Amino acid sequence: MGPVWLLSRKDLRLRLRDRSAFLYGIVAPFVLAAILGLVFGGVGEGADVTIGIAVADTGEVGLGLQRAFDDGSGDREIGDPVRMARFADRDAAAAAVDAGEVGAAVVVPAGTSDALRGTGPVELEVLTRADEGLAATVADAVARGLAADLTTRRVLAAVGTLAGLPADDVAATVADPPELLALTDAATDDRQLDADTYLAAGMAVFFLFFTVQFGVTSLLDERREGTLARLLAAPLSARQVVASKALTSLLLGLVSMTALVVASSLFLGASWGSPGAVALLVVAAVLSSVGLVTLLASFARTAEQASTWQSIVAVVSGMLGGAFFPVGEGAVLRALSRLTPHSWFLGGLSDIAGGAGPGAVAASLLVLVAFGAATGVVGAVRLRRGMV
Amino acid sequence: MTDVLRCAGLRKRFGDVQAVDDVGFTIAAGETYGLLGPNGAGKTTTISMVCGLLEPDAGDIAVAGQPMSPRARAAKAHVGYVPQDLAIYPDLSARENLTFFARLHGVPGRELSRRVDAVLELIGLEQRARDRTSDYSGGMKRRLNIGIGLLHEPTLLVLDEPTVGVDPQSRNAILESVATLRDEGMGVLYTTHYMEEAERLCDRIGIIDAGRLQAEGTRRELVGMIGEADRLRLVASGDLVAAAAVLDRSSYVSSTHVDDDGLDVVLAGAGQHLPAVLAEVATTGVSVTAVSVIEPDLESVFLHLTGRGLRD
Repeated sequence: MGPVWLLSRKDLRLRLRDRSAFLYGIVAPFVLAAILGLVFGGVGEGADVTIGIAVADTGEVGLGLQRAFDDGSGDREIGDPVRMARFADRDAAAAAVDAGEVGAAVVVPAGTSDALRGTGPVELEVLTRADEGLAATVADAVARGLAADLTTRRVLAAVGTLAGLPADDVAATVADPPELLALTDAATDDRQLDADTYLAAGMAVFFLFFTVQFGVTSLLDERREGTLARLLAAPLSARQVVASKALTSLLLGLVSMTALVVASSLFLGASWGSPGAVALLVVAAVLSSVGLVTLLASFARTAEQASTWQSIVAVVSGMLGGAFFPVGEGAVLRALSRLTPHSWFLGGLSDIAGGAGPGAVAASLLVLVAFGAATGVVGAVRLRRGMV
Repeated sequence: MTDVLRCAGLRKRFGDVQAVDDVGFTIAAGETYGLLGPNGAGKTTTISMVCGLLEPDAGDIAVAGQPMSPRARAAKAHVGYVPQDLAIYPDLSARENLTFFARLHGVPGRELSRRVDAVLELIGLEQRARDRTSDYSGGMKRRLNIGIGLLHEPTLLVLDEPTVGVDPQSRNAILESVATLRDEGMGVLYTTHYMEEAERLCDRIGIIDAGRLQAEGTRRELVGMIGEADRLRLVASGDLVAAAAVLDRSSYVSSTHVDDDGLDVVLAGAGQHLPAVLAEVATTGVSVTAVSVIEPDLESVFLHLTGRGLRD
């Protein structure tokens, strides 16, 4: 360990002097996570999307909707982050949409109850503005939900009548239809990181793959500067030289990630979960990053070439792995995402956020460590062979 | 005297190029051995094998009795290596560079400061010891480059063309330092393509060309190889290759060598044959503007052995 630690300590001193590792490892991810938090923050945490509703129908549909509001005049929160505001008629709702008081509005026109009893179409109207994409989507969803509910009641009434049921029974069933399908999203909610933690973790693991470059790539710097020959003429082996570079990368990665976990918890409101499980996951992620940059460095002839390749791989795998945004639904995209350490790290953190302990993140740990070991061993052997 | 280096039958091939071919020599304690040859002759490859940086394809190397290879830590501990190119950390000071390499060579803590101070004094960098070496002049960097090789008081000091690109003052200081170390009992392997350095510094010289050791011995022994031959230097212009060809056919000429400014002619009895040489050259239309007779030296020996100049 003596010469390995001695070499690594020298490299760490050089990195501290030029401050590049500090900038990449701590400052950049922290600042970017904070900025992204400001830009995207609050979407899932109470941002107001207000939808207007104007009920012109005076039949049972209109009366039912009016009863759905607490006091018949004010706003009623129907679920964070959407709020609803009631308007007297279509014109008032349209004026509010134009004025930007509400993002969009749903109009239940007069005669809706009568139309529902007939066989013709029942029409609901959605008023939107071009620059209110999110509110328009929500208003459309509200209108579709309402239409589905009305359709259900209409079908129930028709079936009951055809079956020869008593009119009172049909009316009671239509007024309070049975719930046929209940949905719960509690399971997925429990396994999701909150926005602040997701951004902090994404930035931390994204920049990790840049930070650890400084250790392994310095081997190529030593070759260019001529100091590698001097090291190899000293009483130490090529294996020890490679090990020292990997150790430097490992330490830089661990310090960077630890600092970011602490700083994001203190200043960005991130909540990482069980410290023990997070620590294991961080170590595994750092190992995987060191392995990958070692492998890439072993194919490069110069430090500049290695740095370019490592940066390209870091950006692509960061994007695919969901370091900036959650990965979409496509099967191919998801499969590609699972090839990246970023995805396994963030997935492991989600498991921890769901209250799981170290055992529950075993799969993520195993994949990250195996990834790091496989790439690291191949890279280290190639680097060592290139030195003698 | 005890041999600090013994190597025999060294061979190294890179692809189609036989860089070193059956090279062998010994260096005794307190002896400076010069490996003299032009660029590409195989000097650096030989040194790389001696220092354990390269594995020979064939041959044996022993430093202070220890077999040398890239994995031979015991043998490496006896070697102080000074590479041809600067090998220092520009963002560290001279003291930090020296301390790092001293620790790498296992210099114990209580000895470390003393050795570092002693080397700083030897290379004349005490006043700038705490400055980053990126701010040093070329000569100062060269001196530090050599100083690092001396830190652990090696049995064998290997210097690979240490004066390339160095100003005359620093070159003189380097040569004096090497002579001092030799006098203190260190074995020195010194490669150069500067004949003057080899003549001034080395107890024995090996002349290497095209990967082969062409001759070996003291300066006197080497010069004696060409007998009574002199070197005639003709500063001339015109078809020098044709002139050399004409002279090569003469019975009294040993060898000729053409360069940009004229040609060298190795021959016995230069004074006696000078009129004939000038007459032969005149037949080719070459115009001679100056003539000088040079006593036999290593350049003459190299020319005699290889038909080429040291700086080709």
